[in-house]
Amino acid sequence: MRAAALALTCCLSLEAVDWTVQARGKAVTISAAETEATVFVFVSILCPVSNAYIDRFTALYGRYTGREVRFVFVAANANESEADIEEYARVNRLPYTVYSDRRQILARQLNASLTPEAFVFDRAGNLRYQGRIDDSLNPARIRTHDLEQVILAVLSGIAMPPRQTKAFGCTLKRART
Amino acid sequence: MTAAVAAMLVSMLLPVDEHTWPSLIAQQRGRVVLVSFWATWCAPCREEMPRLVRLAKLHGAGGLRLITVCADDPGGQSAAIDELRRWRVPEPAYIRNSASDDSFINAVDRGWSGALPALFLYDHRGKLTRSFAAGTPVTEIERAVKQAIVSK
Repeated sequence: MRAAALALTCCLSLEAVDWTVQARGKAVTISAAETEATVFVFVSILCPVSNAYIDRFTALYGRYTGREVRFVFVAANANESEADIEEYARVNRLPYTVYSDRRQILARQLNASLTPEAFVFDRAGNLRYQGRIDDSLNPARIRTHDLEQVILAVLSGIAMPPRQTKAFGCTLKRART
Repeated sequence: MTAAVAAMLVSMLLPVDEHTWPSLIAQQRGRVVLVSFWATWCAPCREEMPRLVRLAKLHGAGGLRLITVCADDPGGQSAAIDELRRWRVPEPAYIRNSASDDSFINAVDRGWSGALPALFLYDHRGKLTRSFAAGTPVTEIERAVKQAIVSK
């Protein structure tokens, strides 16, 4: 079902594609049209797997920001407040903003399930990738840098079918509805 | 702890991957099986495990078996074994040892994202009948287990 949904979201978008996240209590609009690639990465303050990737997130952010790639790191766990997120960013000296999606509007829209999980959209708002950052929690054993490969493909204009990969991670804690 | 109890506790983790997964399940035919995927880094997994152990004890005589699969790095098993022994998790206990977690996750259930904790219920024919999201109340899990047992 997820693979089919991925296929359907590609290449059907004719309208401008926007998303909304929160920062400091205010809504922030992210527009696909503003950059060649928009990369959402769902993270968690409390997830050891997500936190093990901080250095890799920082490296990707440093390497591609300003090259027509917008990274949007999003904390969507119901039990992680904006104050928690700001403290986390300060303590970890993150060079990037971690936005909040505590009501999980974006998480539900994209069908995010775990942390870390990345979504790459192209300028037209087509979903090009959903899944892991790379193929190994242990950086010494990485063989494929999946997220980076997709970013490069989008920047190069290489046509690829939408891709999905899976890895173990922490369940996104859903808000009670 | 008596010697008899100690003998039943986990002493090693058996490797499993997407190739051996089908036979792991097939070997349990005749039993209702709850498979719990967990990791030492997964706090909700560690909260849930004692409840699953209790469920396994309550319904073991009725044909329920609890199988655990650890998603830790295969190179570092001792912490996982210590945790399983502390919770008195029964054998068999496995550790994923796949060249591709993506392939392994899909071999278990194509609808599963890889999020932990993950719990899967197989009937006595080895068919996957239910998957339970993190935070599912144990009462709901127990209800499904009982239904599977009476359906044998």
